[in-house]
Amino acid sequence: MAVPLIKLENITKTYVNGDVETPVLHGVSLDIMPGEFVAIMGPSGSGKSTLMNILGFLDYSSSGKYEFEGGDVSKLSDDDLALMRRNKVGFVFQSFNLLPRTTVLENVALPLLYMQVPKAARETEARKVLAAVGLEHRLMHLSNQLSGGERQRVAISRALAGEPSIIFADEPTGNLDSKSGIDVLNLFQRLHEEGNTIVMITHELEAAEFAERIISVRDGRIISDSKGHKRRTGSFSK
Amino acid sequence: MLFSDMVEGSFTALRRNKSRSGLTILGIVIGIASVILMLSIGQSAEGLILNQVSDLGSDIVFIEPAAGDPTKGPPNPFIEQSLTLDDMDAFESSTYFDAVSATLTSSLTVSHNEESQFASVLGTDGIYLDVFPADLLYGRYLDDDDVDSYARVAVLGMTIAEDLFGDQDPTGMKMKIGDVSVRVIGVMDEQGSRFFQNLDEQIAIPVTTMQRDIMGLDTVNYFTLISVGDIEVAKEEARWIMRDEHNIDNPNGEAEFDDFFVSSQSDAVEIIGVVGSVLTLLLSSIAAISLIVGGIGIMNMMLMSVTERTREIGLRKALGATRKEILMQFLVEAVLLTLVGGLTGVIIGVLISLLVGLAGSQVLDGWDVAIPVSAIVLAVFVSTIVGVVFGVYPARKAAKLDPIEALRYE
Repeated sequence: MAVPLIKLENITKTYVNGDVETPVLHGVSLDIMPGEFVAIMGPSGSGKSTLMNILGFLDYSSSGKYEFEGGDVSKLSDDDLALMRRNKVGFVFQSFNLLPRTTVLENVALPLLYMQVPKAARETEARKVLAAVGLEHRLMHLSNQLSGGERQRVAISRALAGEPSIIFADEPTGNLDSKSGIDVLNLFQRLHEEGNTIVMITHELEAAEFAERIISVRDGRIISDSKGHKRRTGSFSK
Repeated sequence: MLFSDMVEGSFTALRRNKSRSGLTILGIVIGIASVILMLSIGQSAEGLILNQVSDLGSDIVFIEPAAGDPTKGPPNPFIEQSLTLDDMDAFESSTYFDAVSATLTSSLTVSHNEESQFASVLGTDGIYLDVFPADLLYGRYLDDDDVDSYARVAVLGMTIAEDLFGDQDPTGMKMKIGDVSVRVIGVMDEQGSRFFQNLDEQIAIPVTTMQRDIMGLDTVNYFTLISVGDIEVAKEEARWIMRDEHNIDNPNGEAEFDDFFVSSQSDAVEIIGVVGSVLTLLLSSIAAISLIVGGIGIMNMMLMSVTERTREIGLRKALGATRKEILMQFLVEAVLLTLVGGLTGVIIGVLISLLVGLAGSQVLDGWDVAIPVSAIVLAVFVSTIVGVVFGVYPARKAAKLDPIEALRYE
């Protein structure tokens, strides 16, 4: 049997603020295989963002075991977590988080900067991933000159740059109109078909249905995990 | 992250806020420019003074009246005029000295017909011309007979001769010093200035005439001697001769018991050196204060920049930037700011120094333009240090940001 890309065993997370302890995750266990397109769904406050932060090496779990590509990553230092984010992970955020007044090309090349890739190679790679999302005509535009849908596609190319093992998308359609949102979801499907592993956080079932597996989270626990359902394509009403 | 990328990124970030960056570095620019300017003026002034002093000649010894040791503590205003012409005899027989000359000076009204003005009148003797050699334009200088006979004669500087007598040769003509009528026996050729005195405006008369007929004194202001051999040995000999002459019981040779003070050009140079270093200390303190103020401006701007770019920092961290890389990025930005400020300050400082030097050389004879290279190197070094010192706090603040919270920051 293939080694899972991600293996969580009984992960918990409790935020401590002074004397007040707020438990957010109560023992989450799950496997994600390479090449999967997973949607983690749940209402706000369910703990899905905390789960993604832990999966994406942005945060520590309080207890439990996290294995990534077969290696234990539960007890990494801050700097090692940064290196994991740098080399293994691509992020897509709800609010795009592009650098303002900076060209599309430079935005996409940004993660490569931290991978010590020399300038010329950064540009080549950035052009390649921008072409993959159909934005090769926008290279020299500034990020604030783009529409919302275009911005998110730039952010997705940025996540693709450097060929990460996994892409995390946190509410990627949350700030988009429905047409742009569907474009983005279709793009994720295509990238998934090309072999990328994608984990998408969303609170909308209609968006989640674009994935091939939906994990529902509520009150810090996984309440359902449905694999291999018939995937939605095309449009949905919002 | 490659260092070259970091520098390039910092330049881009600073260019994005051009006017803010420019205003922020103004403090550093002004600080560094004024340091360069002040050091340049200081160096020129010191050069000018040393030039004036070195004209005195390195074998010349001065003896002047003193109360206590004038090199320690403030000068005593109640100095007894202790030097008399009788003191000179002992030096004339000493093998340590070639010549000894006495001088008594005062500023007096001098006149010829309707022309009247203040002039520095030097009561002295023929030896003075041996100590400070100079050429005569007309006539002759004072001699021993003039001194011995209380002669009412005068030798004029070139400028004062022109002022009083016009272009003609004034030898043999009468003029007045105060109420005393004297005859002009010579005119000096152009001499310029020595120790900030314009020699061309001086009048020399016999020291005896000056004492008896004009000042009503039997003392002189100072002796000027030409030493033979090692000047320090000669100076020590001069002290013992003076103690002997004045009956001072001072077996340990302590300056505070003497009523005179022996000095030479090297002492003057030493004193100027002390004055110079005090001046440099003063200027450095002012510079340090202005650089601290400038540095606080830099820190303020960097703190603002960190707050404004919180989301960017969060993003960079999410993309895999380590704490150290974020710290370095902001530190490089701060150092670039101060370095650009420092270099701008150097350029402005040098330009103003050149202008001031040019103006100075028009007004002051012997004023040279000096651009202290060491100050430029120091300025660049110091501005880098200021950037590091005042950039560390904002940079650490940026490096410590939590990526999740920073990404959510509105």
